[in-house]
Amino acid sequence: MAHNRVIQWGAMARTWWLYDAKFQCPYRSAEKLCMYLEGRHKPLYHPLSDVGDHVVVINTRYVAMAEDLWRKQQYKHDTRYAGGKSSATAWRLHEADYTKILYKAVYSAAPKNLLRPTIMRRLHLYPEEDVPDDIIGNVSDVIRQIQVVPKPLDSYSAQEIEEFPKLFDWPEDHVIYKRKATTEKKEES
Amino acid sequence: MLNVNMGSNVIPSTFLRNVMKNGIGRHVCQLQRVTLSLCKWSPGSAPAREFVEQDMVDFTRQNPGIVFYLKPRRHRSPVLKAEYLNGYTEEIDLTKLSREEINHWLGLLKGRSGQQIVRLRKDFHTDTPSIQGVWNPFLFKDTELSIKDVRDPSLSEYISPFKSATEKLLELKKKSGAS
Amino acid sequence: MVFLTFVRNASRYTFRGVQRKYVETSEPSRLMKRHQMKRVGAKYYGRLRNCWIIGVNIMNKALRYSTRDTACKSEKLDKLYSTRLEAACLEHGMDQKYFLTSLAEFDINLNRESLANLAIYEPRTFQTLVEFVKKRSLEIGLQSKTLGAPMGLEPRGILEEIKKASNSSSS
Repeated sequence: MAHNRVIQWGAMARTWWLYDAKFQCPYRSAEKLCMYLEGRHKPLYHPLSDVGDHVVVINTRYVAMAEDLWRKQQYKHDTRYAGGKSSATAWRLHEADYTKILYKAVYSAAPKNLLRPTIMRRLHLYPEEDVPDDIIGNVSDVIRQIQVVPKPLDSYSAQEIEEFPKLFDWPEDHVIYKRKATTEKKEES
Repeated sequence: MLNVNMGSNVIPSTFLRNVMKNGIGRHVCQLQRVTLSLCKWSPGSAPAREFVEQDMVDFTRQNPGIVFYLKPRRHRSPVLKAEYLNGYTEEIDLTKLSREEINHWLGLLKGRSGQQIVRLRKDFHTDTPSIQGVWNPFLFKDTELSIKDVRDPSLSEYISPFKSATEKLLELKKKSGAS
Repeated sequence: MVFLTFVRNASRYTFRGVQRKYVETSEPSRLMKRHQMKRVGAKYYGRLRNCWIIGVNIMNKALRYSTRDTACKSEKLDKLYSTRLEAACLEHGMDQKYFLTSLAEFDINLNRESLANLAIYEPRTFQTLVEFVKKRSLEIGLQSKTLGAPMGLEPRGILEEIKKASNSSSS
């Protein structure tokens, strides 16, 4: 049937997804991204057929880690030569390359088979919001974030802060600790 | 026809299908020619001779589209050779077969489509598996997406099933202000 | 290895004389054994097909593999249908577990396989099934109205909603 190939073009079409990694946990979002990269969000999924989609991730520079993981998480590397073992903490790796943390998270969450390299090639990581036009032009849908992006105090207007309901007043003799600005410190020393 | 995409290392197999849609309008008998070669004397061909005497004429009367040849062959076992419209031929050795069995084989050959018998992958098959159309990634997509910018935060924001403490406070304030 | 023993035992019976009687002999026929290997390994390449000891080892290994894999075939397929159904449910903002249990409650007896096939080949039918479950559970009062989000949303915690409702009613 001549019509069958057209049906196949429709069913096997690859869509492009956008994901905003701002203040998102890289490990939990890697699990979600893998679902789209492998094609597990499609009812016609099969582990042997390559039905995964493209995912464009922006703001990888601003990923958030729980607790003390920036300092404690170790990324190990081995050149397989004598003395070739090395390890770097998460914050060091992140400083070297802002996309590396999320790349490694997705790499380890992806299936450990021969499809992994092709899956990784469909993951497009960008440290900031700007993405080349030929890539953002393909994007047709958005993956929802996995956690709430916290709103900083600076973004509230003075009126909003004033209007916010006060539950109690501090006593007059209460001392609120305020961190000194770094510039002042330098002047002192 | 066998499946073309099969490798050389595999035992041939097909899907179940109706060849040339035969029988959907009218049925065309695919069997065109039958040749029965038998010995006139040997006891091995006795049932075949019996078949010729008693059943052959009836068969040819009932099936005028099938040409029936008789071929004498001395001191050999009887053989039934069937030729089909698509050029396929099938030979059946009739040694030690009774007259009834020969009739059965002939009936089987008459009903066949002229396709080689190979393993079936499944007992069921359809050329149109879907009536509503096969699923595709655009089928249930929200049409709003075509108007909206993909960078719109409302699309990517996480929607919590629970209310935050801030929201609860603001709600309480609203309630108390209203009352 | 059920069928392998059957294949091996088959060679121990030889046909003798005109009477159709199978007699058990002490030793299996050498030629018959080789013939069996050739039947199974007819499609092997090179020495695997021509040499006895290599061919029979490969044949035995192949039969062992097929026994092992037929055992876990259904399990693998179940997993696949479950993944497919989860994807199909996610598209309509529905939870797979809730969907299956409520279908069973409303006496729609479809298993994962047929539901997954419906989701691929008759997607509108699957959609109506999901909508039926949503509406029916709304009538009963189990489900929140926020369900039925577009694709890309996680299925809402229906159980949490149920818990909330039950807590509010009890208190």
